[in-house]
Amino acid sequence: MQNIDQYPLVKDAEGDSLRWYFISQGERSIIKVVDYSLISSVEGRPVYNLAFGDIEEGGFVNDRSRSNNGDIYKIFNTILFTTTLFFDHVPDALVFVSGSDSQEVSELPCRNTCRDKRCKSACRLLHQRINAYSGFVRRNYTALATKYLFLGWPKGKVLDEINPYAFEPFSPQGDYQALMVLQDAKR
Amino acid sequence: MALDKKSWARAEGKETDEALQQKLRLAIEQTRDKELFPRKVAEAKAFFAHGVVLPPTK
Repeated sequence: MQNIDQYPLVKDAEGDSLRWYFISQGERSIIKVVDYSLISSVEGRPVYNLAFGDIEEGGFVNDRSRSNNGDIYKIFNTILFTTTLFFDHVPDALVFVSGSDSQEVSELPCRNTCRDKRCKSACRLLHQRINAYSGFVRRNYTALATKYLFLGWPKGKVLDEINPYAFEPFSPQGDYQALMVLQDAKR
Repeated sequence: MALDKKSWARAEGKETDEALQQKLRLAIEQTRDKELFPRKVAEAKAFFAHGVVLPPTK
């Protein structure tokens, strides 16, 4: 992964969180933060939520911004590189990744005023982030799978299933609502 | 190190390395004692409270 272009990172730790900051330098300069917060444990392993957002004036963090700064792949590479650094600190962790736009459609701030004809059957903004994350993993899967295991929580899970919260091994052909990343112990 | 609204805007406009590094240091300071993603963390905790099942990983 050393050859992948990424932004320089600054680490900070706070309570149960580990954070890395960087400056996205595309059309504008935007300060970003990648945050790993301890949320749970599964099978005796700590689970951390990965969150990512822009830091705006006053220290307000916006995890729903669409900055369109022209450097999306460099940003993805940078976020992914923080995962490598994170596993140096917590090698047995599970990292949970979901999109900030994957909640109920009715909760999306644009919903009340939406007149977009493309939103007739399904909101086109729903799941955009996790789709982008999954797409990045899919495109780089061969290289990433040498070091990490990816699990996916498929879209369309229903609560009357026997295990509605069951993850499955990531498949490049899969369509997921959330991902989990862990170090591959065999590597 | 406090940077008021005017100075923040000035730093943003300058886009020099020094100004950006100053903004970065300030951003770290301003977010240090905060939970940055409370909604997302709460949603994730609620999700895992249902009992997540993993496939064999070893």
